[in-house]
Amino acid sequence: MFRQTAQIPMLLDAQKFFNACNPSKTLKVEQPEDRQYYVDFSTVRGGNVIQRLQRTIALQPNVATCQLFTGHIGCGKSTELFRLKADLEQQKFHVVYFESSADLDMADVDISDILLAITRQVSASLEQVNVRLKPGYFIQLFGEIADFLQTPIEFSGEAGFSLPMGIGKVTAKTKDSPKLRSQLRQYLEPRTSSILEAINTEVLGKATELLKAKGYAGLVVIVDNLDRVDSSPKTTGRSQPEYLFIDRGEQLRKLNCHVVYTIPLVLIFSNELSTLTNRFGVKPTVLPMVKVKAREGTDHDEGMKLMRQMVMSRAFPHLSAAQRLDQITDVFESTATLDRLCRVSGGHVRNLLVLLYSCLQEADLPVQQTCLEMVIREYRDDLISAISNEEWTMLHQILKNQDNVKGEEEYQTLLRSMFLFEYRDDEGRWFDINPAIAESKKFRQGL
Amino acid sequence: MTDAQPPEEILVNDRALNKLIRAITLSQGNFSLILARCNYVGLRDQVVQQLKAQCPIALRELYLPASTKTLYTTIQSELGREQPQALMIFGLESVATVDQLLTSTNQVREEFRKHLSYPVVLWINDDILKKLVKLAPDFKSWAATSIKFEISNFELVQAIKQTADATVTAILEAGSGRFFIDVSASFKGFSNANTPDIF
Repeated sequence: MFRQTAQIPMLLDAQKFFNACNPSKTLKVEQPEDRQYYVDFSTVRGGNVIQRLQRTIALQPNVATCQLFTGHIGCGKSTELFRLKADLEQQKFHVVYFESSADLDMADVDISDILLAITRQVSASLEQVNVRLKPGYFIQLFGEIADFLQTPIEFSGEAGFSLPMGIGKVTAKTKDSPKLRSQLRQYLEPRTSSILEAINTEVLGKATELLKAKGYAGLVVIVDNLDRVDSSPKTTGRSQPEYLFIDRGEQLRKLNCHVVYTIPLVLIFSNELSTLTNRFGVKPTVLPMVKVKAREGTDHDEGMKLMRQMVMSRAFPHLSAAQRLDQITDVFESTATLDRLCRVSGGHVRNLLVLLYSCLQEADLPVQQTCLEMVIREYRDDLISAISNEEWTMLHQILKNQDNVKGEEEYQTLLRSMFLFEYRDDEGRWFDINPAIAESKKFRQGL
Repeated sequence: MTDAQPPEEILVNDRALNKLIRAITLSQGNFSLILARCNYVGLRDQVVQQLKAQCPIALRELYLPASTKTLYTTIQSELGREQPQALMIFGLESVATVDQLLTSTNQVREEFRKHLSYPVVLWINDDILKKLVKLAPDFKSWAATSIKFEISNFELVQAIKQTADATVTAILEAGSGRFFIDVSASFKGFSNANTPDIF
């Protein structure tokens, strides 16, 4: 009778916490459950990256804009793009977000594939708000493709003609057959300009018009996962990212609506970065790590504060930020244990989850300091086993000279393997070693 | 060394086994990538036996043939609509074009978390772990730290002794002058990239 039953949401649900810490989980901010886990890191990431993307679109709703977005593995790109989607939807935009990796074969992508994927996704998403397009150009084009592939392509479903269905059928036919795909490309390639024009007038232009009639502010397409295109050099000597975004960037930027492409981070380290910027008329926006320490090496208080929240919100989603801090010892042996986790993560959000998830696999809550230390050692061993002697030298050199990472090779070996992290502050960017590796004997010996 | 104290490796492996069981059990109904690391096929088989005996979750096993090209589609075609409680994948180390397999797995990683709602235990060795860091860093970053099973010095010595015995027997049976050693065959239980280190 005297117990306070109102305290029930304060209880820690260990299983739910475990699930929320799974590093393979992306937060979908539009879902209320996930929204509670979302921490806005914009103040400690060198400018509000998402706000910039969002404002570019919202401030010129009637102009087509094209923006490039990229970032390090697991630093929260998809999560931030979901936030962008939610923000824009609040401002009455119709947002088509899609993972291009589901439509494309990332080892082998051409412009026509990207254009068709966008057309398909946009038209499918419009059908869901009862906007059906009947683009004459595509009806004719697919008739020709059907002849050429020598297979009939069914464009009509129960509800009549459907563009996404037709494109889906064509892509399904060619996805698993490199030969058919290359034939289709050879057929489409000389028609790229007219396809682009048809997409712009018959699909995107028409869609924007119909959406605006329904009260929408405009159409936005977010192409996620395009950063995953294979970056190994092709027979032409150009890598796929260079080919798509530099050689053919002109065409990608020509779409007649708001587009945000995720691009491979490697392009930022390419010596053709300025060409890329020229092609798109805009510099790519990079999402850096969360600063948990300042350039000088001291704790970055705000960054640490937000990282603590990122962990504690997963344990106590219903509590306020201040209340969560009172419950730290339900989850960790002490505040020092939580702080150690935040520091050693290097401000890399997925890295932090990997370490925490490993602790939770190891033993029940609260996470003990000894357990965390063991996990850090294991994490370090996993990474260090992959560092070659030349890479150690490269690492030392960059850190000693306070150099920037230059060139694609250094990027591929050091940043992509998560040996080195990138940070930004008002003075620009800097690189620091993954803190877990910094603690290794091997690294300290080389200092 | 006294009898009362088990060798450190056994404690390490017990802890690892316990962690693996917890990792599988706690991720029921969700996709979770679990890396189980072991350099010796013999030890791995032993661990899997123990795991099957102790884990309350039914484990579906999948052996990758050397000719496997892609991981996700292989799972898809092997399992069809079957949604096991947990899946264990073996044989990655013997896939001929493992570099390509890992690269493409990294690219299509979304498919795993979208379509598989159960824990996937990937058995790897040190070599594959290195390759994961370099070729599939995004995919790897979905997993907790690898759960490592080690061989004790005692077991290693036993294995070497067995191989030596087998070799001597082979020599005796073959008679002088007609002897041919197939090291990999006589070292079957322990064959992998690390075999040369033992000699």
